[in-house]
Amino acid sequence: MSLAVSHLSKTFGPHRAVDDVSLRVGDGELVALLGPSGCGKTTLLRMIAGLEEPDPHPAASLRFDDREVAGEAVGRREVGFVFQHYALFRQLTVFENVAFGLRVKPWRERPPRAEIRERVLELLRLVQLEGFEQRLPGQLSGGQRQRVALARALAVRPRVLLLDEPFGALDAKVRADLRRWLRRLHDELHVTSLFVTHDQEEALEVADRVVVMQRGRVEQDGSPDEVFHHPANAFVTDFLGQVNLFHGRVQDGQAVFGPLAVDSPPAAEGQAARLLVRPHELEIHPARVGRPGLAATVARLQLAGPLAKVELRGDGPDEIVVSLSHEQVATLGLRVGDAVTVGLKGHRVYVDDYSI
Amino acid sequence: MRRDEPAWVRWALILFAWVFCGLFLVLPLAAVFGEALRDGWQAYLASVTEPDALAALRLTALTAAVVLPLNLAFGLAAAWCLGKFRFRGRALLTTLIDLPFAVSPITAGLIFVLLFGLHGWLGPWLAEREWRVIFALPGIWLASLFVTCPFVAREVIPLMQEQGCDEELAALTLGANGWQTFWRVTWPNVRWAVLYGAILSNARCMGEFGAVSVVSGHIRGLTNTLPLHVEILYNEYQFSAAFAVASLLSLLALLTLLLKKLLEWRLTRQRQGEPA
Repeated sequence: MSLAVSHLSKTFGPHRAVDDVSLRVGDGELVALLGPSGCGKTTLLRMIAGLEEPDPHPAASLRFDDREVAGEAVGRREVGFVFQHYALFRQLTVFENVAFGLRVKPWRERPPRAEIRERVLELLRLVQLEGFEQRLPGQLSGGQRQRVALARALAVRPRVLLLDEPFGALDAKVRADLRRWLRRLHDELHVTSLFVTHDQEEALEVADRVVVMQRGRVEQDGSPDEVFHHPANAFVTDFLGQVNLFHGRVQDGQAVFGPLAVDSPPAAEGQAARLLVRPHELEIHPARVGRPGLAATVARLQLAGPLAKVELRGDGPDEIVVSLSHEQVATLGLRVGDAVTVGLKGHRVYVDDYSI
Repeated sequence: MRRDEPAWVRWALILFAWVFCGLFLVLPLAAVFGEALRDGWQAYLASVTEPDALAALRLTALTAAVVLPLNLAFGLAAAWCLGKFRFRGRALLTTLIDLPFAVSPITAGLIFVLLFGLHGWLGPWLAEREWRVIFALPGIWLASLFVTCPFVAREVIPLMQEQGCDEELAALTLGANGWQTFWRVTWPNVRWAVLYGAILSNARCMGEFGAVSVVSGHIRGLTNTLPLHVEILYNEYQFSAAFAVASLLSLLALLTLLLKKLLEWRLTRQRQGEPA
């Protein structure tokens, strides 16, 4: 089942939460809606589920395959929705939570009791919660509740699975485990899924495709590889990971940032330009070698973790963060207070109106 | 907890609390039962089983039976509306629900007299059809309803606000209709709070004096509720009979307290996410 959203908008009073958004999720695809909080991603997801009404617009449409569902009630759309805070029925056992969607079906469509039982147990096996049938949600950990919520949404065999910040309320270790597990589960079930997250790492790791949103609009839609390595604009670059930002101007067709000059995209002479460089795209040389680059001093060395992080203090107000392998740090013999020069291995230059 | 006060301060405070409770709560209660039984069990039984007392008891029970279901329906509907939805004027409506608590019961009774009394706004219209509201049962029910209607809503609104609408929305996405959502999801989450409100509202309804006194007309055997009956007996210097009937109301109060305590215990357990 594919999902196609065209020209959906949603206004709350004076605030445009979702602004003319179109996107597609292919059959069996797992797509992440990524953006900072307040960017409209959750509103968009709720509109797809039918929990919010889109603004009326002649071109607005919401299709599951070829069927227009925009006018349909929530219950008729056959979507599975996983809420950020799980929204488990606190008075019902795990078993009854998962069985809920089957039990409330009209009696002609309702499966017999034995079948419901079999389906629920099968789902609990799938989410690795066998033996928890009689527990109440209050007696489960966050990760377990999240899996019950997922099993409950899957019980009715939804055509589209929608997940709102599914791991948002969990601690870092459980998050990482659960998202790998979700990816494996998706590979098994192939249910068309759209999930909302503000965590770029999560989106890049789990999704087949990432849709980056900001201020109610789609900024970029592409594979995790594309959006990470070829971000469409400064916002996406900034949002998809740590960056160092340098301000400069366009001079003689080049963007000049103090001692650094790089090719500029076509722009008027004297226009403000921004240089965005990820920590791994910078290199460090001892100052005495005399290589051209930014002069800086080592302010802090952070050696825990797979890569070393070197914080440098240059002319600008912000620290420059460089990530190096531990071997490189050892070879350079870096110490706090050392004078160094910083060179570019990769970069992106933007002269648009966006400002960080 | 760290205790900074010297022992004698603590003991003095505890003693003060006990003496205060004893003087203002336990002693009067004991007095009610003492006075009621002053002339012995025979007299006690006679005063609570004489026809006018029984009629008052029946009327009080009938009033409660009429008012309670209406209170439940109104309280749940109001709480649902105010606790689960956001709309313009919501804060004003929440305040208005408390109005009966703020208004003196006498005023509440007078409102109904002014509305439905013979010289009231709707009086002539009602008189033409020979419908009696004031000095008749409907007036008593209206006045009781007015003074007791906030109880259920006030108990349920904060609980519903705290629980939010996520569970209901989840039920909707799973294909449940409104009725199924209410009975399977909303009701189990609020039932103890509803019961709690119902018990408080019932106690107030049976014990209400002021508002009912204004609209009842004190017709013995017809429009006399228990509290009004106590007053009449007292004014006629039938002290032990008055206290005997009053003791019935006191027993009701004690029962209410007990039920309330049990429910509070239930509610705290439920808030802690344990089975309820």
